[in-house]
Amino acid sequence: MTSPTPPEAPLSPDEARTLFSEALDGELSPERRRAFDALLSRAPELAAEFEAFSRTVGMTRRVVGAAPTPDLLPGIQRKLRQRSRGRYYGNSLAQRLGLGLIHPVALALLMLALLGLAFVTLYAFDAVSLP
Amino acid sequence: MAAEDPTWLQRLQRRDEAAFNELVIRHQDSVFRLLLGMLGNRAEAEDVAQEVFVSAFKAIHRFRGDSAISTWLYRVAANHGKNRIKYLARRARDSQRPLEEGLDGGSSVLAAAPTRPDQQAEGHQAEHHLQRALAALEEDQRVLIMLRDVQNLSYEEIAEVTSLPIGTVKSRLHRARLALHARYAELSESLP
Repeated sequence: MTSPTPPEAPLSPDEARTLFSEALDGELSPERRRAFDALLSRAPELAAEFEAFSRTVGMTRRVVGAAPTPDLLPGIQRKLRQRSRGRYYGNSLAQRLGLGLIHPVALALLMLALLGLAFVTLYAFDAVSLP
Repeated sequence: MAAEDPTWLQRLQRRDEAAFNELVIRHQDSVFRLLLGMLGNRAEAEDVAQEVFVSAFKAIHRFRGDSAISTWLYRVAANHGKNRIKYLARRARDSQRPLEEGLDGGSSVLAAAPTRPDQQAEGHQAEHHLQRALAALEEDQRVLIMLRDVQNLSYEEIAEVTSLPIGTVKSRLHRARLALHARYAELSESLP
């Protein structure tokens, strides 16, 4: 059997003022909250003080409710690209197309093809110019 | 806060660009708001938010997953924000100008509020006073208010971000709110 909770000692107005934030945030124990509410119901001036305090705190969210511009993510990507010297968020056409790995291979094949073409052309030229 | 998907975290730690883009998209609003509240200036807040994510990209391999990734990001953001405040204060001091003038002229949260026809309306005046009251707080007080009242973090999460004991978070947050409320009341009474 649990023993009944001892009644909370009455609060003074100054003590209640130190509890404004915790009361607002729902952080008071049930006993403390009862004592707080009881005092406020007997002291209308203190109740008005608490209400004004709550209103100010509640207004803060509205005041700082702004969102960033849509440039934030591109700005971050640009900084990361610059500072990593293109290792991250590189923007070459091949990378944009998701062909970042294929790109060097394609370049090597193209070089080989060009070399082959040059060789064939030179050989054909020599063949034509000789009597 | 929701636990992160381990596969996604692994991709992040391998510096997978798509996973990192997702991280930015998920957390850019809250990181930006925290910084805007700290710095009071959109352009500065955006610039620092970019630096926060660049730092996160570099240091992501050190994230051990003991806390939510948002908590880790807030910690990085709060440190960057404090450093920028110090830098701006130093720059303002060196050029013998008040801090607000040292910020990108005209783009501070206060100054950037567009001149709307209904700006005289009571609600906007109240918001304007609150912005000024917020800007007058000490930077540590602003961080606590942003984390609790704008980002809705629990006392425990704030303790993780700020590396302060929970009791200290509670008492400092309360003092910060009292200071904000007092300054706001003063402005509301003195200015129409």
